[in-house]
Amino acid sequence: MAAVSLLSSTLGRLCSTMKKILIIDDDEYDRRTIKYALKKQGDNYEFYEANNGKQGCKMAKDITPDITLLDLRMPLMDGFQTLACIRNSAACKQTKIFIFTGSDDEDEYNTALKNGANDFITKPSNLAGYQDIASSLDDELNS
Amino acid sequence: MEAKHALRIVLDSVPARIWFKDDKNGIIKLNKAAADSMGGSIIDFEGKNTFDLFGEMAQKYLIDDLKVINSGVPALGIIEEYTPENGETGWVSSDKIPLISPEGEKQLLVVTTDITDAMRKEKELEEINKNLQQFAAMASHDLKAPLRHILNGADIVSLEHSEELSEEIKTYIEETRQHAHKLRDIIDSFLEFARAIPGETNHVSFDAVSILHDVISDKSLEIRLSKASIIIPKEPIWVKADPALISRVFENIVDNAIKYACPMRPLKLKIMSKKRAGTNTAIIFDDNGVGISESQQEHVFDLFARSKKAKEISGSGIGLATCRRILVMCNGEIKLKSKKSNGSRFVVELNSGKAV
Repeated sequence: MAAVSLLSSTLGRLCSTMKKILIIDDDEYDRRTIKYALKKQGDNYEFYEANNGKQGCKMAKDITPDITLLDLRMPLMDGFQTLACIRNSAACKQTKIFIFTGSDDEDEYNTALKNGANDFITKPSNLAGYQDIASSLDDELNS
Repeated sequence: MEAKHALRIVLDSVPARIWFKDDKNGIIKLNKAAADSMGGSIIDFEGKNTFDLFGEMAQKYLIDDLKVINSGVPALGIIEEYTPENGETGWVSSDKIPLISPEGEKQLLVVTTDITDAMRKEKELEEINKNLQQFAAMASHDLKAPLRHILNGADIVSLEHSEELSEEIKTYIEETRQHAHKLRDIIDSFLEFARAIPGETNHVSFDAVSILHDVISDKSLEIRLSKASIIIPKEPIWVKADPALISRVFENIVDNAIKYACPMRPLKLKIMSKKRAGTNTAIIFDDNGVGISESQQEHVFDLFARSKKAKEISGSGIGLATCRRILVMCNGEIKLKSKKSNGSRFVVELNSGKAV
């Protein structure tokens, strides 16, 4: 019984340290690449994916992720609408939302931060860039 | 010919609309073009008061008129929107000049030109430019995404399967990566060119030397690696333009100097300034690079112009076209003097600014 109890407590501890990451992006390749880079940081992530803003917001309310990576240009509901949708949810008050987009537009950056995004990340053009971002997100989750 | 009659002929022959007004909004005299614009003939308006003709709008005219009459200082090039009775909205550019009559009465000469066509064309152009910028942003976004996937895919294959790959395959992957980087540079430059569209410039006086220091500092690694030496003036160079746009021009010129350095000697780039006759200041960039032949010089500011020697040098051939476009927006000019194998001299001319 003692062994079972120890196993259960270890599993419980592991589960509680698993971090939920929701990636909302209509670009499958970008979702796959950031997931690849994050997996290289460790195995304590649970990944959830949505390929449009509407699905993403619903998922965010259901799973209350620790971090949401949010693309801007998406079908059904764009990134700004999705940002507002998640920020208006009481369940997601603690969720950190990072805009993750191909854009480097200053106006979009300012709008995103003004509307509750924690940061604005322009998608890098090579894997090293994705790995840097994954490392920063890992630090963010463990700080 | 009687002087009064001659004056009437002159007044009615010019296309501009002319009014002589008193300081109580009364129309003393007007020409045919002015009467036409108000939808009547000269006798319908001469001696009438603007309050009777334009109702509420007349009060605004009077306030503006009195500012000029009382200050004694002419107001030139005032652009105003107007809507004539039963007419379409248009725009006029007016000059208001204060006068004193031989009897000592304060009067006002108003000369107005209809600029409706020019304003409509300007608004159409603004709309076209806006659409072009939106198109460029969308095109850039849609082109960058697959490019990013190509580069990431190549990186992941190299990283995860390096041991299984032959040297030949590794070379192909590396070449794929290089071509993708080249394409990314072209897309970035294209976007930069498309963004350099007139409309949102912020012209202020600033020290060009301070901008040059920022540009050089951003490129310190490339400068150190290429053993280049860059001399910047010690004294401030005060110019009037949009500093953010001019920073892009300086960046392009310095980039080109580094890219097209002569392989036989490290780059020496000397930056100087010269006061031009009138109100201009020239900023001169002298380098000892490969130079540009005379036949190529006339095309160097064209879109997609690149040096024939540039096959192995990264770049898009858009940079100098962007510079020229920016200089036009900043009421300046960019010129090139160069001798093949003997370096290049780029001269950026801008309006002189005031020390701030």
